Order: sequence, then structure tokens, then C-alpha cells
Amino acid sequence: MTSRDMPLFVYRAHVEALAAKRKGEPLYNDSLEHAAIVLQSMLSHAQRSVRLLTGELNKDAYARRGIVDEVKRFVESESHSLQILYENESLAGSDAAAQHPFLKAIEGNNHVELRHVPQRLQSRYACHFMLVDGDSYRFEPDKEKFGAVAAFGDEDGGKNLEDLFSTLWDIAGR
Amino acid sequence: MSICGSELPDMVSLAGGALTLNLAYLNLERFRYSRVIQETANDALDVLDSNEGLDFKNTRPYQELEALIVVSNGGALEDPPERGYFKAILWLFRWILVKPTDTIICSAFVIVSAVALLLGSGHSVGLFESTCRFFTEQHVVLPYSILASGVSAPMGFLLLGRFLQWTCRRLEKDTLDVGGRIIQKKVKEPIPLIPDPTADPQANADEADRANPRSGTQQ
Repeated sequence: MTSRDMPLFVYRAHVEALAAKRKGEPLYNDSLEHAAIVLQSMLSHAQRSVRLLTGELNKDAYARRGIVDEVKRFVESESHSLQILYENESLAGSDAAAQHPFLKAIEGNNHVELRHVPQRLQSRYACHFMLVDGDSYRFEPDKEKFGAVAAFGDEDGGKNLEDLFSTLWDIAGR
Repeated sequence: MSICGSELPDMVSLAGGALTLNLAYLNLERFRYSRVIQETANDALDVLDSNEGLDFKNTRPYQELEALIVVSNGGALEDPPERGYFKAILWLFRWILVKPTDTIICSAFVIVSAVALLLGSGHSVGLFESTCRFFTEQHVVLPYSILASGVSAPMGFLLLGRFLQWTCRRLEKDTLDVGGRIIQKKVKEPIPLIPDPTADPQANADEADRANPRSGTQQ
């Protein structure tokens, strides 16, 4: 049985096992259902920080109840921080939170920061990713495609993504 | 004890089993693994090919999946796989399931077992007496062996098909694992920003340093 044939509950258990081991083992991931499971698992294991570089917080994944519940739980803690870099300007609209359950869940929270990636900067990287606690991530090397890798506990990879995110965050804040 | 002295009536149930199994193998689509394997391999490659930027094609599992597709289409392989184990698998696949030797063998067993069933039933009620001398006690091993093979063959082909299908899925998993490692390799390297053609070179270099502080451009 391959990961794509696995019933979703089996895939979820597989992801949870990797998250518990935290050995940085790569998990190929190319469907929306599997992406949602990985993202939810990452949020549920987040202890400190979540950094997200995204196009539009695809509702097919981020509006799922499990993810919304996890992000809500995550931002409730004083010591947690959530930073989101987004490309699609519609997320900045005044009614965006009303239309997007994920944004609604984090709206008005002090530990959440969102920045829009300027158009000129968007063409200067090809990837999207979620980085959790600096060492766990789901990384799409080509933002136009679903193919991605997820890993829990990969410090080297996490450091590179952290550096890239910080650079984009700084430029987006200017 | 048969009326005409033939041992064949005692093997009627075996003949019936062989006939049933072989007819089922020939007529049930789900038992035809050649197509299933081709579809499985094609699905796997479609997904992998949709990620053009990733270099799956030079990986062993990807190439072995491609080889399975070529063989399932009856084609000849330009570059035979390196692994001896996989060569043996391909050989079995080509000669038994694709050729299709399995269909020919099962068709033959359908005929043989149907004839054995007819004769055996006939002998038990005293019909076909002229053939009774071919199925006496000293000749019993041959018809028994043929009918036993008739029962075993479709089961063997099914096991082979299941094994090939498992191999196919295993290759798909291996390819996806390799895919995961290929992408992760990209993350293990610093990810620089693509230089902005409109910015001055120093600004690009400064940004590259910020994105990759460990291997900065300023020495």
C-alpha cells in the first residue's frame, strides 16, 4: 500500500508516528487531503512558532475544521507566535476574516502577524511552506504544484527555511 | 466403485474444481492482473510526472515502473533493469501474464477438466465404456496430476498477479520516498532569493546574504 492508497486514518497515524519520532524523515505529500493532515499535525505539535508562506491560505486545506481548531488552540497561548506571509491581496480585505474560517480563528490575536508579500517579491522565490518551531515543515518547492515534502525535526532544513522566511518578512515589512 | 472399472469417477470433484477455477480465472476481469498492473504503474507515473521540476526519472524505482508499463504493452525494453531480481519479475510478467501464457494454460485446463468431468460422470453410470481402460488404477497418476495442476494453475497465476501488483505498489512507494528525499535535499541547501533584475547588484547580494547568512557572499 502506498501513501496515496492509504485510508486517511492510516495516513494520519503514519504522520503522527513521524511527528513523534522527530528524526527529520521526509514524507512525500501530493494531495490536498494529505496536505491537510500534515498541516493539522504540524499545528498540533507546534510548541513555539509557526511561520507560513502561502498564496491565499487555500480554503480547501486551511478552512478544514481540524486545522482551524488547531490554529485557534495554538494562538491562545501567550508564548506562541504565528507569522503569515501571503501573496493574494484579497486576504487583506476588511471582510477577509469573515469569509475565511482560518483567518476568523486568529483574528484580533496579539500573537499573530500577517504581511503581504509585494508583487515584485513574489517572483523571486518558487516555494511555499509552513515552518513549525524552526525544525518541522511542509515545503512545496513549486508553488504552482501540490508536490511537497514534510518533515518533523529536521533542524538543517528548518534553519534554511527560517532564513528565507526572515528575509521575506523583513522585505515585506518595509 | 465404478461400474466400468475406471478410477475417473473418484476424480469428478477434482475435475469440477479445476473447471470452476479456470473458468473463473478466464472470465473475471479482476483476476487479470496485466491490466491492473499497467494501470497502477501509469497512475503512479502520472502523479510523479506532474512534478516536472523534480528529478524522479533517474531513480531506480521510477525506471522500474516504466519498465513494467513497457512490458505490459508488449514492448521491448531498450535499457533492461539492472537488478537481477527485478529482471526475473519482468520475465515472469512478460511470459506468463502478458503473452498471455496464463490464458492459454487455463483454456487448456477448462477443456481437459470438462472432458474429465463428462467421462467421469459417464463412467459412474456405465457410459463411455471404451475409454474406461485409459483410467484404470495403474494409470491413475496421470489424470490426477493433470487435474491437480488444473486446480493449482489459476491459483498460482493469481498469486503471481498479486505479487506483481504488490511489487508495483512497492515501487510506487519507493519512488515517492525518493521524491521526498529529492525535495528535502532542496531544503537542506540554502534557498536564495532569485535576483531582482531591476535592482542593483549590491542590493541583490545584500538580500542573498540575509537569506543565507552562513555562506554569505561577502568574504
